[in-house]
Amino acid sequence: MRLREISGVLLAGVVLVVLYSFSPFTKTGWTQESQRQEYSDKISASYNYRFGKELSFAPGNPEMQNGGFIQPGAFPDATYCAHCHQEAYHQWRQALHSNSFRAPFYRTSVNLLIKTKGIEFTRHCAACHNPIGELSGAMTENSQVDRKFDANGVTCMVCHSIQGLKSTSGNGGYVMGVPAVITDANGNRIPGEVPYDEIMMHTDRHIKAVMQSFYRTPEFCAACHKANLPEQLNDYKFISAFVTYDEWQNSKFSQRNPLTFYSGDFTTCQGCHMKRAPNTLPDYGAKNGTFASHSWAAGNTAVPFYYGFDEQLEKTVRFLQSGNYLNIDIFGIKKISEEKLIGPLGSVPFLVEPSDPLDTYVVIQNKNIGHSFIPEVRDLYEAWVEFIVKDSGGKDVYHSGFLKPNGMLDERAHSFTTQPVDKNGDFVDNHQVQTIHAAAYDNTIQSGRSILLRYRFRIPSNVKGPITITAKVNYRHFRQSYLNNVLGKDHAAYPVVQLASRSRVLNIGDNKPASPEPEDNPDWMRWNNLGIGYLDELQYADAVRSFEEVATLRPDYADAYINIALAEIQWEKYDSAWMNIQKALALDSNRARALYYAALLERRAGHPEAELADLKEVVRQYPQSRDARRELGIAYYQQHDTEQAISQFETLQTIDPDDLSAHFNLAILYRRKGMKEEAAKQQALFVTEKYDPGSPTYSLNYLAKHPEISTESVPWHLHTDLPQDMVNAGHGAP
Amino acid sequence: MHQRQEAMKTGQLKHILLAALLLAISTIGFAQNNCLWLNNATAAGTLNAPVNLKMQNRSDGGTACLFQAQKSDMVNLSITVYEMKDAMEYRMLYRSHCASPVAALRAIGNEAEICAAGIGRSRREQVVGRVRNAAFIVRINTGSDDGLSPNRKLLQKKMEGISEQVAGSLY
Repeated sequence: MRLREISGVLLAGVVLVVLYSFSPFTKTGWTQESQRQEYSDKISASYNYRFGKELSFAPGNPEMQNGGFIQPGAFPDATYCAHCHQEAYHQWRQALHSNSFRAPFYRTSVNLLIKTKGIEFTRHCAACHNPIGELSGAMTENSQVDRKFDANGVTCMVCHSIQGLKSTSGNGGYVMGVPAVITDANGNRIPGEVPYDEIMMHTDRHIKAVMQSFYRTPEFCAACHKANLPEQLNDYKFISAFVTYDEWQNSKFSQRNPLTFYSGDFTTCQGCHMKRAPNTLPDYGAKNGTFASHSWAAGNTAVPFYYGFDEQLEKTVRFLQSGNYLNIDIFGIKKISEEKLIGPLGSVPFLVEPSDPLDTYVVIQNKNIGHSFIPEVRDLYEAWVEFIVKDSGGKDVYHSGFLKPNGMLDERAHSFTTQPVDKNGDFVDNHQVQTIHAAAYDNTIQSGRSILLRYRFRIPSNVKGPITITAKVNYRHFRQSYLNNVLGKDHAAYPVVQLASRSRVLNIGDNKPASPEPEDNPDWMRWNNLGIGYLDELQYADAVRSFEEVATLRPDYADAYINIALAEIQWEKYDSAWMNIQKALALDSNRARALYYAALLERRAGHPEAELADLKEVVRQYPQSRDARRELGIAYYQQHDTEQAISQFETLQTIDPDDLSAHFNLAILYRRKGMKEEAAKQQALFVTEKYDPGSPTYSLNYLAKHPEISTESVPWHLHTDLPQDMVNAGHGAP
Repeated sequence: MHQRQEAMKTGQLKHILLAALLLAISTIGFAQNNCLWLNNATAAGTLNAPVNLKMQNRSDGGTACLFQAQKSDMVNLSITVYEMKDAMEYRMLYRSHCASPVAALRAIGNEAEICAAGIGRSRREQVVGRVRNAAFIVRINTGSDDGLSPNRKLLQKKMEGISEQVAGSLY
């Protein structure tokens, strides 16, 4: 009897072990976690903790849930997902996310970092370019991690295993969980792969394991689409690298910023870059025959071109040329001997004569991009304005922004690029960001803003027939010199994509008004954009005149008066600014944008109660406005309301963790409250993140050596081939 | 007697010197170190076996890494890299080892091509490619008892992966 009992218990035990062994949930709980711990300990034994044991992934910013490292094999391969998600896999394989590490354009740059500083510094890059390598501890010298995952970059289970987000500071600010494709009935994540039929039986649990609501937010993208160069990387100081997320937040598309020039519908990163489209391959993730794009079409043409991913290349080009993202307006002309700007062209009559030297005013508007143009890696990506004047025979009268036979861009073109320099004032080539100390210039167009370009040329004296002026914005991924560095000079020509173009014909003699093109902005908006261009070039009188034209054309448009006031505030004409703000408020008494500037004027005039009331109203309407939170914090600070001031600055830091004003003020406010440790932390952040007043020295050294581009660093500049005496003529005139 | 002892000593000395010389040469020729283009773990993953690494400095200034599977002398993976002088010359040289038509590999280095280079019973695949003016040659010998699938497609897939790793490290 006793023997039978024992046998029964043993049998039951065997059955349980067998069931457990064959269960899809074999790798659950402590077994998996203990294996991970064992792996983590092994990696840790020889890992280079240069930046401290608690900062395993610095200078990158990710972290593993529960700490340590994770086996690369813990991430189910993308081919595993492909079984049920064929469309997603097909799109991802050609997208930049899957080629984020292996592409030669990345490897060239990062290999140099390895050679010059050491592989541990590349954790700054790998956090987003090779998360599996980063988190498995492969980014250390003499690593013995099998790197077969390198070819897959950011895989399905990288994104779909992220369990949390850190701040929106970027540099890979995510919290990675142990990958799981299913949960148990209680919602506990079950690590590793499971048979497909298990997933099909419990699709709800699958969704619970691989989807998080924050995946659909811009903050999710911010984890990698915002970056800074921390002191650990450059042995210098914090330098902001790119802030695509912040740019979106400041754009009309976020509806979080009351200060935008124009308003728009709420749109996230995913809204533009992961649009739903009919799927051609079976995919269980499709809904109603459409699938959220996993191609992430954006500006990366070089990578699909290199790999021969024609479908991705075609999608990318189509994306870049769609959306009415940029608007080009050949706004006006000015004879350099005259004061008057003739414009808007098409709406006003004018006369052109042979031999006239003309300034052409071209306004380029970032109309519908939710971030700057170009948002990231402006030292390698290349966009520029091509400006061509042709006579009726097709002969060039003037040409700026051409490509030379060797593929290099005309140095005097207006390009939307940056030229970073190191501490010796030398150009930082090959994206060696760890050596950057300053930017010789940094040309971009922020979302919703416009730039004004001036091109000077002379109408030929023997001209017969009309001349045609064309302005285009072209784009190439990457600049030719970098392609040469990566591939040698014998590489194929990389695609140049025309993003926008506009032509106007000038008759010799009289020119009458003409009908606008369908993509043309209405005249009030053309004036408005011109005004914005003047404003950003610090030409306040011209900005005011342009915005006044808007008010004339649209007297019901409150923003016209706000824009005049904005220019006047910057010009320090506060009384007139106040009057214009009042005009705007008369049209729209609760307009947050007007109230914000009203508050600034009230502060200046010594009316703190009114200032506070207006800012509180702006914050009520726009609780995530970084500007309003900052100014409200300052208002409370000035009224010695420490608690309220701290509250505003702390909230501001949840919106922008790198806001300098918040660091500065919190350092003082915390100290007043005796919170010495917190105060010291904020003070240290302020010191490292603040602008280095010595940085212009580096850029000026570079610009002195490169006069051909030095004009690009000046807000007001002229593009011309004419002799110097013709360049000087007309200066000082508007 | 004394002369005989001297002769023996001289002979022993010669042997010792010769041994030392051979040791020095072998140290120079094949050093146990880290391969610049691939780590042992990735090589082992490719060969499905733990490996030993030998490195060789070539007379032309190039370097070779030989990952030898511990389970069999017949199973190995070699990587050779050197600065080339003539783009066509290097390719023709290595094409001469091909036992099958060469096939171009897209997006591995500036250019790369693969062929079968079988010797006897062992299966051998070879990729020759370049990154700018650095030539690389990757070979896998699978042996006959290698544990790898005899499927050539699978072997080629592995070759592509390794070649991409090598090319990537040369950028």
